[in-house]
Amino acid sequence: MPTVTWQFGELRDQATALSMRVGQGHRDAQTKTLELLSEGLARLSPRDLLRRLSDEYGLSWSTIADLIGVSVQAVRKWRTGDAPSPERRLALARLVAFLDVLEDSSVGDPGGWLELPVMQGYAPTHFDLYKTGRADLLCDLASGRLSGSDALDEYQADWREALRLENEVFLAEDGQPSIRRIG
Amino acid sequence: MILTHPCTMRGPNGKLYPRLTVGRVAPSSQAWRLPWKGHFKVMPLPELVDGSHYELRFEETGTVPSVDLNPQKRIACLDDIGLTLLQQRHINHHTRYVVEEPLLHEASAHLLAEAELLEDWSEAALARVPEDAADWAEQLEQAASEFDAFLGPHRENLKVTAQRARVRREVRHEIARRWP
Repeated sequence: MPTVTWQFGELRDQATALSMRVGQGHRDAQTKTLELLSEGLARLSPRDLLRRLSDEYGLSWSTIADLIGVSVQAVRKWRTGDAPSPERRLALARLVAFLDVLEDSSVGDPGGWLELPVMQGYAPTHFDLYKTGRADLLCDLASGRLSGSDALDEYQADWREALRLENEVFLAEDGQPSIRRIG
Repeated sequence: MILTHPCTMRGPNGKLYPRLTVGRVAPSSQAWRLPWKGHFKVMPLPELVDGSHYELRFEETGTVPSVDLNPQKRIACLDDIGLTLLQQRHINHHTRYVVEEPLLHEASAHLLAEAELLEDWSEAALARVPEDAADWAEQLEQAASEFDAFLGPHRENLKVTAQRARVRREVRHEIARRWP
């Protein structure tokens, strides 16, 4: 093998390894940043945290409940003054911190973005990735460092077969969202 | 239990249609635990009352006058995921076709969002009205009517996934402005 080809091959392997290490380092730093922001936000009252999620980011109460892992009734009680457990309060703070980070990553409407599918034609939404603890993937997606298919590769290896939708939502003749088979 | 889809429950004036489709809810011999495999003739309702398991029976359905449905007698209300699962099972019962749950949710998402915002609006509007006030029902109806007027120009945007959060923000800002 010519020397120059061998040298480029060696360099390429080193660059790939370096890219993986830098990528992991960046994700670890993002995770740490989210933790620090969350700890600061957890000093706010649950009512203020909920107000930021609902009034500032436009999340529905059912979405907030689902992302925090409680019932809608539990969220309702927090709105009227009941105190969540320290773990739930931190989970609320984490969600606010995550949406703040998205906004800083130039996602114009983080609350709206969360509801969108990662890739058209496949089931998972950004919301689903957050629910399964993959805020790291979402930060990379939002900043454009990861494509939708790369994110799904990390989310679930068999996503192309397992998560493909056979149907789609469309606006029917009466103007109402309806469901039909794709194609 | 009401089976009528939310978008076909009300007429153009927001009032319930005279008759709605319902199904019988009965105690279940099953102790419902996830995942609910099979049992396609029912919608499991685990621990519905005092920890006891119930089920909605798709083979025992019919219509009832909507005036007989008293909200004060409501025992439970499905959340968004429960509503989607009910629709999925109902469709499967009639057709044996399994529609993907995320799509069923997306097709109803604009109605669920509107219902939730109406609840927020009504709560704020009636926050200072005693529940035993003689005109409580009229005030509730008035609040619903004002909500309908405000939502009017934004309602179509609720059908667009990426716009839904913006509509929620606008409605909640209006609620905060009217009832600080």
